[in-house]
Amino acid sequence: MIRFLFAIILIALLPGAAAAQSTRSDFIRFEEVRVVEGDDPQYAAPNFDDANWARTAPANIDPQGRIIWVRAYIDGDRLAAAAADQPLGFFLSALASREVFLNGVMIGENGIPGATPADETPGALDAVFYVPADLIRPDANVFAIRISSHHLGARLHWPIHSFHLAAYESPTRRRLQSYIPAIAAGGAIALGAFYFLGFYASNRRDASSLALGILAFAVIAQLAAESWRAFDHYLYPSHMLRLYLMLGFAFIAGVALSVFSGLRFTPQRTAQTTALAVIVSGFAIFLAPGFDSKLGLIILIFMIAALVAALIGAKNRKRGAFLSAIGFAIFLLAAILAPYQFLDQTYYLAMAALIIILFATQIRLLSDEQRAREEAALQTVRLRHELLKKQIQPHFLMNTLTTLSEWIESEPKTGVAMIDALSRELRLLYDISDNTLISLDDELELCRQHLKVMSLRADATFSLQIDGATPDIQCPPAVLLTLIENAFTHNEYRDSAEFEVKTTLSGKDISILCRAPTQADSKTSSQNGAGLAYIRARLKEAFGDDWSLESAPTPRFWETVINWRSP
Amino acid sequence: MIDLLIVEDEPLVAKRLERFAREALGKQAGKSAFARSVEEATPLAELLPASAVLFLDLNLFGVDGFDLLEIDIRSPARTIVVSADQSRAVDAFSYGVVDFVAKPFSKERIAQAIDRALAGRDPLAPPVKYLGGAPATPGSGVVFTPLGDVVALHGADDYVEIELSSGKRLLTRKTMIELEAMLGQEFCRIHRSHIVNRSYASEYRAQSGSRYSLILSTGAALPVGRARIDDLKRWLNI
Repeated sequence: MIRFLFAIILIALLPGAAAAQSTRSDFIRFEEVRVVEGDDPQYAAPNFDDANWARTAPANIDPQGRIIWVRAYIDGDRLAAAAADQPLGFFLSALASREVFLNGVMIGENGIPGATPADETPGALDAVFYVPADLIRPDANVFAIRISSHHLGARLHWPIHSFHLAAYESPTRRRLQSYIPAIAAGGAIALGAFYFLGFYASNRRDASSLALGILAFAVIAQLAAESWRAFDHYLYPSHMLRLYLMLGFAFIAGVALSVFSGLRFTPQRTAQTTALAVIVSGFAIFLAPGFDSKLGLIILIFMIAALVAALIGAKNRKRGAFLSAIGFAIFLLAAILAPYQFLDQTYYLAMAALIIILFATQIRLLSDEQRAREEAALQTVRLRHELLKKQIQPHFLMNTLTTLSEWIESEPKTGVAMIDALSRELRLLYDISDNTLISLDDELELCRQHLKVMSLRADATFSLQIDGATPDIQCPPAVLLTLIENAFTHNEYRDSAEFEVKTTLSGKDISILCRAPTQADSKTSSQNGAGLAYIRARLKEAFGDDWSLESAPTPRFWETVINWRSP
Repeated sequence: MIDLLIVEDEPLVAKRLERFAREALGKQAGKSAFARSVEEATPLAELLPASAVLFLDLNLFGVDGFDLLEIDIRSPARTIVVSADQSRAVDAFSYGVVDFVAKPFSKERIAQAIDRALAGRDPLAPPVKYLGGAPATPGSGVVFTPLGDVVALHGADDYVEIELSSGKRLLTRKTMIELEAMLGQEFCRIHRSHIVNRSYASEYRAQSGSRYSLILSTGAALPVGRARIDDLKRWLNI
C-alpha cells in the first residue's frame, strides 16, 4: 500500500518535471523593447525615430492606467526563416487592450486602446496576431504595439504574460494541454470529496473528514478557476476575479489541510497551529510582491503547518502520520526546489497525489475507528449484561432470599425492610445499567441499599460514610458497588464494617477514594480480579484513556483511588 | 443421637438450617456446631462421628466450588450440600454427596435430606464419578480420582484406603457401608474389608479348606468373605 502510494506521487510529479525540461526553442523572443507614454499614429511608422524611448524587457511593459506605445525590432532574415514553413503568430497575452502593427501596417487588434477608461474597450487576456509573410522586410522589421489598461481594477506587477513569436495556433492551446492531467486527476479528487463530505453529512460528525472533503473541493475549485483561462478567452478585466478566486480557494484549501492534519495528528493544537498559519499567510498575502508569490507562499505556509502536525503525530505514533508527513515533505521539496514550474505545472498533480494519500490514510483510520466503536458498543452490552447478571447470580440472590425467608418467619417487619432494600437495589441497578455515566448520588444510593441488604443478610451493621461533595459528579455505573462487593468477597465481616467514600474535586478533575476495612487474616486480592476488570472496562468506556485506578491495601483498609477528568 | 455440623457463612441461613434439621430429627437430635470457613470447619468435621450429618455450603466468603468438599472427605459424617447454585447439583452428586439442597430451601426439603442421610445414599441419585481421598503423605490436600482408576478399597481401622491403578493410595474417612452405597455395579464388596473394581479382577481361585480368593490384575490376592461368595459369582457371571 505504502509503496503503491509512493509510486503515485512519483508518477504525479513526472509530467511536471518533463514539462520543465521541454525547451521553447521555436519561440522567437525579444530581448529589449522601446516604450513611450502617449499616443501618436506616427509611432507605428517603420522609420519613426524612437532613439530616445525608454528601453526595457517585454515583461516590464506596464500599460496600467495609461496608453503607451511599444516598439520591438527583429532581423528580417530571422523573421523570414521562421515564417517560411509555417504561418507565424505574434503572441501577446496582456491585461490590456492592444493594437499590433508590423512595419506600419496594423496586423490585428484586441479591444480598443484609449487614453482614458472611457476611450478604451477591453480586449481578451490571451491573444495571437497573425504575421502576414508579405509584410516582412528583408532588413529591419518593427512590431509596434499601441496598448492601454484602464479596466483591471487593481495594479499587478506583471501585466504582460507573453510577448513572443511562434507558429500560429490558439493562444491557450499549450496552457490547456498542461491542465489535462490535472483535470483528469480532478475527477478522482472530486469523488473523494463527495465521499468524505457525504460521510460527514450522513451519520458521523467526524471533523477531519469534513476538512478533507473541503480540501478536495477547494483544490478542484482552484483548478477550475485556474483552467477557466484556457477554456474561455475572457476579457482582461475578468482576470482579477480569477486571481481572487484562485487565491481564495488556495487559502481555503490551506486552512482545510492544516485543520485536517491537526485534527488527525495533534488534536489539542489544531486551533493554534491553524490560527498561526492563517496569520502568517495573511501577512504573506499583503506583503508578497506579485500574485504568484502570494499564491506560492499560502501553499507553502499551510503545507508547513500540516507537515509539523504530521511530524508531531508521527513522533507520538499516530496512525497514518508518518506517511502523511512524507507526502507533505515531498510536496514542499518540489515546491521549494522549482517554485514557479511547480506552481504552473505540478501543483495540481502533486495535490492530487497528496489528497489520494490522505484519502487512503483517512479511510484506514475511519475503518479502525469504526471497528473500535463497534467493539465499544459490544463492550457496553457486555458490561450491562455482566452487571445485571451479577445481581441475579444465585450466590447473591438465592442466599438473600434464604435469609429473607428466615426474617419473614422470625421477624416479619425486618423481612419487609429487606424486601424493600432489595427491590430498591434491583430497581436502581436496572435503571442505571444502560448508562455510560450516572450521577454519583445514584451510585451512592445503590451502595447504601446494597449495604442494607448485606446487613440484614449477615445480621450485622454495614454502613457507608461519605466525605466531600457529591452533587453534579457523574461516574460509571456500579463502580463503587463493585468495590464494596469485592470487599465482601475477600473479607469475613461479622458484626460491623464501615466503608468510606471520599470525593475530591479540582476543576474537571475528580478523585474518588473508596476505603474498605480489612481483617488481619483477610485473603489478599489481586489487582486483576473480575471486579476490577469490570471497573476498568467501565472507566475506559466512559472516559477513554483519561482515568487512572490504584488499588492497594493499607494496614487496616483496602484503598482504591479512581481519578478521572469529567468529559 | 445425631450430631450436626453446619458449614455456612451466612449466620441467618445457618440458624435456619439448624432449626429445620432439629425439627426433622426430633428427639434424635444431638449436638450442633457451626463453622463459617474452611479453617473453622475442617477440625470440627474430622471429629464428627459417622452418624453425624454435615451441611456444607459450596461458597464461603469467596472460596467457591468443590475445593470445599475437602471438608466432606475429611469427615466420616454424611454430607448434604446446600447451595445457591443449583446448576452444580449433578456435579455434587458425582462427587458422592448424599443430597443436594438448593437455596432457598423449605423445612420439608431439609427433612427429606435428613431422611436420605440417615437411610444412606438415595439409589435414584446421579451416579458417583469420582472418589475423593487424602494422599497418605500428610499435609497435602484432597484428591478426587475417576472411578476407572480405582482398583479396590480396603477397610482399615477408622478410615478406608483407596488403591489406585497408579499404585498410589488415598485415605478417606467414609465408611465401607457408605462407600459401597455410593459405588455402582462396577464395584463389588467381596469381603468385610475389600471392595474391588471389576475391571481389575483377573481370576477367581478356590483355595484349600473351601476358602476362596480374588486375584487382581495387580497380582494381589484378596480373600473373599464366605457369606459373599454367591454375590461375587453372580457379579462375575460364573
